[in-house]
Amino acid sequence: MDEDPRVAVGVEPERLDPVQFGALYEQHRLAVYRYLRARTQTDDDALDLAGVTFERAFANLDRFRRRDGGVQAWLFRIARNAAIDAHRRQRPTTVLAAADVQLGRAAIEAERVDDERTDILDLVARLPDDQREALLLRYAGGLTAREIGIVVGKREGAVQKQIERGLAALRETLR
Amino acid sequence: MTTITEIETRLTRALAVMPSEQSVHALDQRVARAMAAPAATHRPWARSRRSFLRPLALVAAFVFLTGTAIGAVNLLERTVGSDPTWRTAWDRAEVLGLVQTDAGLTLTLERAYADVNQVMIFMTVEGLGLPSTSDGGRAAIDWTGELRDPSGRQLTATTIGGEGAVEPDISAVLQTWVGAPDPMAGTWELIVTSAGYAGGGMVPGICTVGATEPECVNPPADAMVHGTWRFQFDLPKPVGAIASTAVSGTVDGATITVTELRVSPTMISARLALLVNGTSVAYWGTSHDFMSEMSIRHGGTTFVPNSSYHVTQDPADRGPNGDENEFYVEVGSDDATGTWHIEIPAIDYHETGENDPAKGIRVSGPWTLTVTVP
Repeated sequence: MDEDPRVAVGVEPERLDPVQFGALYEQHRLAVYRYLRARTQTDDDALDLAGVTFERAFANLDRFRRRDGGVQAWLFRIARNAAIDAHRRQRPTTVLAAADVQLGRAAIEAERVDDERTDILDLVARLPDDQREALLLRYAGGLTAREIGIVVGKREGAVQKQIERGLAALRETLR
Repeated sequence: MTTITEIETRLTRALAVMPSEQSVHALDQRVARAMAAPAATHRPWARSRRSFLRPLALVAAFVFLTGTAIGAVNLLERTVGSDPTWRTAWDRAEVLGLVQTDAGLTLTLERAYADVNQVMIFMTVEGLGLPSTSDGGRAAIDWTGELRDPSGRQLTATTIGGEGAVEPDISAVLQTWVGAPDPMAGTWELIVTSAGYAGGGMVPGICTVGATEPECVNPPADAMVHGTWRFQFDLPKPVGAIASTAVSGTVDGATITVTELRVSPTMISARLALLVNGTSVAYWGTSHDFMSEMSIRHGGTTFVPNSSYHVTQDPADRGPNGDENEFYVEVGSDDATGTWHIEIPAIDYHETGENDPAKGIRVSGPWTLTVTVP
């Protein structure tokens, strides 16, 4: 995989051509994986959901509309819903606010590399839902505030505030 | 003291997980198998089947594109492209050609359009030196302004981002305000108060922390150009039909009421309210499951909403029918009269105000609601 999850920008296509889906997959797979990895307990779970994401995307290419936010927002909306669906199946009666924190911590345990990394992910897991989601989409997925707004159904300005508040909360704790 | 930039860097590094080569290979194989599935399983482009996974707020849609030697109208027309909504609005819009220059920027309001579902403006901006990405693509720009309908009511006008580029010196702006404008002919007013590159901090769509491109390492200073570009223009009465109703249906204590149906050439929108056991919920949406989508049928055609907006985000705005969403079909109709059937297979609702589907409580229907437009 390419190390850099950023997406080359350009004029979005009006429609997505199935023939070009391979290129789209290669362009976005790392970013989608990283976002899902931050939302799941294990690497296998993240890869499975990444597979679900691209399978669903390919099966529903006709639903893509450029004016609804572009390819990246579309893919991450699918990825987010796939993660939510998977979580529902696992814990149908769990209140997710608590479960998400558990997931975040579990992910930390599975991926413990160094203390600094663990510290900041632990703090992210404790943030309010909206802030945590915005930070994951922004810094794991590489989405813009506008794209995040499209994914989560909020306005760009509101997302920007969530990001700023989340970062400020992290800074406050880490200083 | 730790800076925000340092936090961003640490966070980005912490999240930059790399899967193993073996895992990537397995994922590649899986996606390749999906792509190799028989063609019959892949649905062809279906004009009446445009849907996304879950509701998303659609308040303002916009595109910025750029061009050099091409004329402004051609640039706008290219930006409109083949999107049916923009195309319909562009073709039916009032041709204005109004020019305003201030603070070194020339804004031209080429066309404007209004129907009972949305208002759209088509505008160009000249004089901005916008940063490009390293591959010559778009850079992010913002503009601010407000739009007032003939009654003087300000429509939802947000500060928005878009895309531009350095090389060309003209940007095309398509802006949509979704929602019912005042249903009367009259004089509209568009006031643009700034345009340009916001600069500094996050550069949407271009830079992630750690990026090494020059514009990311040394982002240009805030280049928003502030000024006043005021346009007044006349538009005819917004076309389309608005049906106010109280049609409702109840399944397992969940009562959905159609409070309004708006049908216009660019969009079909249905405003639905939800009460559960007589009590308003905090938020709800149709299920985002692929197989259980809301549909709107009329005259043998089935429309699938592909976006929505949570109307009553402020609880004080809720009426007797509960929490309200508007669902939008981005294909319109010139034929509003007759019977419209709205079917909702399932919903997810939230009691506590969190806009997260994972916390939703699912109720399976279907609810089939019929609205007649005379």
